Amino acid sequence: MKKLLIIIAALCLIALPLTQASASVCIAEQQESYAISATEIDELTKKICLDIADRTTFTDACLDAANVIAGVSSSAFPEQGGAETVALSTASEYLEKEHLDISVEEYSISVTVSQGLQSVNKDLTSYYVIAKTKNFDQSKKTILFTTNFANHYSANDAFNGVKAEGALGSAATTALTIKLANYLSTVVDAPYNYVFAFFSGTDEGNFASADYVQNHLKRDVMLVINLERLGCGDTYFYTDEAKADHDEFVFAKAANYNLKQYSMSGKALLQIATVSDLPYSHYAILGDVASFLSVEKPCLQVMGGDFSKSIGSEGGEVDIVNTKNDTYENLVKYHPTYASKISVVSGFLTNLALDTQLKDVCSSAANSYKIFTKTWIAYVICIGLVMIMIVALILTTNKLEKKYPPPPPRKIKIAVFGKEFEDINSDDVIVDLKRNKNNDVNPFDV
Amino acid sequence: MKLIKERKINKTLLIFLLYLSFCFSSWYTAINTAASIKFLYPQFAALSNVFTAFLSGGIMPIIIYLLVVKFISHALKRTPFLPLDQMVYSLPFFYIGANIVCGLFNILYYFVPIASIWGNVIIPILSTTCFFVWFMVFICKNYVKNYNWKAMTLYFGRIYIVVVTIVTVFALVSEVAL
Repeated sequence: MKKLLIIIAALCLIALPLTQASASVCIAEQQESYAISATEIDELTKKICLDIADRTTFTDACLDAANVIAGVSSSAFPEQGGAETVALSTASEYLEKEHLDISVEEYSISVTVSQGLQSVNKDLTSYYVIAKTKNFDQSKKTILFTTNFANHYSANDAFNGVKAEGALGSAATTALTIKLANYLSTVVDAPYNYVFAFFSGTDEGNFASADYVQNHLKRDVMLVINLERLGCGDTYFYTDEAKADHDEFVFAKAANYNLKQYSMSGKALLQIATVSDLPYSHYAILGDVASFLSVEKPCLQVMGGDFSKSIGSEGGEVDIVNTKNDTYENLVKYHPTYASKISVVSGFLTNLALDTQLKDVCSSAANSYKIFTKTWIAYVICIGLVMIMIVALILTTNKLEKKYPPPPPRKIKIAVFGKEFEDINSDDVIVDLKRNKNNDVNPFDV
Repeated sequence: MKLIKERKINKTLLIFLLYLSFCFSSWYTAINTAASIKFLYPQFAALSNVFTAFLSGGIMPIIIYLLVVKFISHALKRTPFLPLDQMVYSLPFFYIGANIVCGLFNILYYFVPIASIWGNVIIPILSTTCFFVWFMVFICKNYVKNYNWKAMTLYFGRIYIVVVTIVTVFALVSEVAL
């Protein structure tokens, strides 16, 4: 009996690593193979553009859109303003409640709006969506996926309405994030927890992400992946202003998916501060990623465009984001391969999100360069330089005084009885009082 | 140095070259300003090209330079043993040198933007100080009797340090306050 138990125990010991190995193989296989299809991306993008065309921040339409994404409701067609809730969405369209804990969060900001000659204080309210995987394990680290779902369909206090669905601006990327959420939440034995945040108020000033950072961001978030304007031009990734710990790891993975590393060199900088302490910004840090970089979270910004042209160029025939041309029709017209590009990105993201080694490279905080963003330190160095200048001036003048002493002072002698009575070979200045009658010369001019 | 001693360059041309050097010293800031205007106010995109930004970057510094030099030379007009005319003529040469160094550092900022935060504060002071020391050495050696070097260095050195201190402290206070 004892022997039998020992054999069973031995078999268990052998089988355990094998099962673990098979589980990891399962994940590895998923890593290798899983990419959301271009058709799925395209269908959902189109659906978002139809269902929730109006997703304007600080309007009622934003709440409707947030509810639709959250799978609470599906709204009316854009002609009806997206305000009317008509029916519950089907499970597979937007975020799936079966595997996700979803909430719609409200945030408010106070702004001063000028109305003619008067300034009026106004409270503006808007919404964002948070979805967490249901099998949330406190012992695991978390990856946070973020994106902006809002657009500028209607006018608000910051922008004029453009009456376009924001197909490239946010719909296509929102579609990807929804699909990722639905997929990653179903992965068995996933190495991490996954949280998905769909923000609004990004172009207005990253308000939703700032609220999220303040009220929801947990310490266990090891990486924030912000997705922005995917589907146009090339796909770039950016981690931080200086070399981040996860740079090389991400770079090696991204290379397999033809993703390019966004380089700061050669870029014109915008004189706007989005990341705290950084007095400038550029396209990669204009969006919600700035809120997370400000609190020194390791970040990965994935975005589309052609940054060899200008700051925010999309790489198409014309730039359409934030214009009346940002419609589904124009997205397909100017970026016909947009869905395929996003599909490739989805493969990269699932591969990254399921990689067990990721936690090792994202363990430390980012922003090791932060000291160089403190301008006051540079001024203190300058004051130190001034001190050195003062010391150098004192030493130099002392040395010059010793090396080139002033000549001995010359005496002024008054020659009362004429020059001939004075020692003319001496260095003294002799003032002759015996004036020449014909030439009235000033004796001090001698 | 022969160029300066023999006054081979016309004064007006010299001021124009100084103006261009001021433009060059801040070319990266000019590019960024143009890009910012274009990005934030697309309606002014036509006005905010790089060339305009480059040329407008030197206007304020050259005006301030001319006013300060005029004021100081007027104040020191009656100072004995002071080669004022030679100093006013030679100063732009050294200022051009300092501006070129600052402009060259902008190339570094272009590739490593984060270096611009400290660089824009420290490098102008450092390079101006170096060229100011060179300027003083040149003037003293060529136009001033050696027993007056000490007085000359002390006088202008003090003025320079006071100006640098005021500018730095003012910038530091505004940085901390803002």
